Amino acid sequence: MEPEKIHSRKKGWLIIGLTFFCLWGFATVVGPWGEKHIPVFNQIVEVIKTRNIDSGAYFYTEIEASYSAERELQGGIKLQTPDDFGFTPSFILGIVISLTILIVGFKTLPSD
Amino acid sequence: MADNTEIVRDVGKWEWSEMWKKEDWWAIWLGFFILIAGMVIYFPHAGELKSKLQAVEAQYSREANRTDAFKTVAWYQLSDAKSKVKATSTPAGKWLKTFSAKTKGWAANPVEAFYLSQEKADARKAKAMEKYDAAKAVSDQALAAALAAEKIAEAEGFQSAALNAKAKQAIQDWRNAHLKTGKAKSKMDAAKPYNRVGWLIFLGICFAVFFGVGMKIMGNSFKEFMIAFGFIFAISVLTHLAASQATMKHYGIGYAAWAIFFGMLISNTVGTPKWVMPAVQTEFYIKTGLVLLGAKILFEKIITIGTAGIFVAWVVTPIVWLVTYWVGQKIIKIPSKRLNATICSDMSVCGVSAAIATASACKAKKEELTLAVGLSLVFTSIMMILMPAVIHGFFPADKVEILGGAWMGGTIDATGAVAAAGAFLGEKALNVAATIKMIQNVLIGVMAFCVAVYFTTKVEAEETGNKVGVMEIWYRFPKFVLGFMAASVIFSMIYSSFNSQISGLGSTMIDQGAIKGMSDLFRGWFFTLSFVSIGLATNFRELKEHFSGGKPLILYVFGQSFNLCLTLTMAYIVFYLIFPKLTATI
Repeated sequence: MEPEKIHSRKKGWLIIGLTFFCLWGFATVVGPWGEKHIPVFNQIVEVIKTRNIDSGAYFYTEIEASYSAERELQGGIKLQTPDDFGFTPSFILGIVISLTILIVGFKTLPSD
Repeated sequence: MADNTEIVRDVGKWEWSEMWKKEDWWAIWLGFFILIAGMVIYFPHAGELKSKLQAVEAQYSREANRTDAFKTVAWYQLSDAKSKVKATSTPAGKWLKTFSAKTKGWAANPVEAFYLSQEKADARKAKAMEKYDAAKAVSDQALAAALAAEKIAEAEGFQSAALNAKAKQAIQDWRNAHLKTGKAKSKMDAAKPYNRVGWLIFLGICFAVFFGVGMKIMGNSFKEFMIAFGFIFAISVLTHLAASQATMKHYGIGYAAWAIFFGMLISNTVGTPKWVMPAVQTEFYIKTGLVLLGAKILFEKIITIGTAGIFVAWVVTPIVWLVTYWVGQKIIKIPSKRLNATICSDMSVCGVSAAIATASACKAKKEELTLAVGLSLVFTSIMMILMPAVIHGFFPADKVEILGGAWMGGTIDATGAVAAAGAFLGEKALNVAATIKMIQNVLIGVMAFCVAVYFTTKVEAEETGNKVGVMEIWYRFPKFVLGFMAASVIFSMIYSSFNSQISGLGSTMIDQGAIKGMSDLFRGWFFTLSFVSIGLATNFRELKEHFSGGKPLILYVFGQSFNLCLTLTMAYIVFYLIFPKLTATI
């Protein structure tokens, strides 16, 4: 291997090592310090810990709270205002408006 | 995502061999293979689970529905009992969960992500048991108080508003205590010894064979792919190791960020080894994951919070998308329409998932997806901290939870961050925020389809200078989108059909069966593989070119600001001016 390539390889490994060192520092020192001292965030972290929420989740199925929320809200409407539940005229109107916006919007969007 | 050279532009005719030669089709076959396997494993248990649900209803239903003034203790007990009936509780479900599990959570010792000894597990259990016992005592006491308050209200025939309110509050206190007990119990139950090393190796081999077969039939070397895949999978495990670290979890830094980061760290320092390239198959993994994602887009979910939810999640989102895209093209002048569209989706729909679906549908470059995802992740962390603080500080006390929850659900990109910020404001805020986000998630399929049609019929036609006929649309249309939409429609129909048999069976069989017990288990891994591949094939210089003049950042900030204003206005109008009765049920 050429000396230049060996040098750049060595530099590469050094950068990787330094990056992992910094990550370790963030995970064990800087991050926990921020959790304690950033106002509001310390309380959010407490909630995340107590409720075991995966705050890095990307989709509703990854969060258990989505399902309990669904049961709670749907159940509430069904029990207390059953006429407002399901595909009511106003609900269908909402869907029609949404789809109309999409169809008209995409048709008129510029292509140039 | 595809390089320009990989984009199919002028294929003049349809060839049946595409169905086994193109990764779009292979994504559909592999995705449906997993979904059908899920159905074969779980659906035979439908009868037995239906009987369980019927037994639960028989036990609690009469008591639960004796008033509509508020949700009684029995109403919650019925809901809790139903939620415990899950298809994933079957032996096959438990095995699949163990087989596909990622690394475990850890704080200071990374070994604990893979291995936990019996002694350590016992120590954890003893600690958790102490907390559980304390929480259980509080919960039992709160339950007794709730039952007593409910009895007093019932003695007045549930006609006294003051007594009803007292009972409602006592029940709410019990629910909060009950929730803490539940979490303490799950921590206690989870304190078991484990060794993930063997399982992860086995899983890696299974994935290698799973994708390797497709690669072989598409004309690539099976052996080279298998060897290279080992490297990609190892980086994917490292990704989950980082994402499962306690501090990183608290900051909401998920696997997508780590996968891209580690991939780019390697490719831009020591370089991606050449022998790894056969397994750097971003599109193959991503499209297979997207077909699995389609199964989770269940249309019935949109009725969860009634009309108010549909206006906040489904009317605001398209307006924000279209306006931001227009501003991006005409005012900010983003050079790439594909980057513009991908940023619009991750900012207005739901972050990473929407960005992946849109980028694939419009055939964006990998650097464009990386940029869009990066922007979304940074702003998600910031908004998760800032929004609850602003709501807490400036909103009227009676609107903090519902209005605040709807605002955050409609604007914060990632579901996990929405849940964390919502939970900080309170139970109602969490429920509203998570539900609005869920309804918005359902829009991914519709948006991806619209984007695919728009780019196929208008943008590509403009780029090539050719008029696009009906058949030409078919040739150019990204076929995996059809698999994605088909999975969504089929699973939505099955979900509704189960629910029509008995309320809750859809959730038991689909949410807590074929989805959580099958498609979800693998989709996360497939997206990780694709993001690692993106990172390994991206260099900083190319990425920098796409960021020229900070235009993507300006676009994101404009779009998100517009989103914040419109969502807040719409949430206030629908929840407080048009449907106050519905809001009162929350």
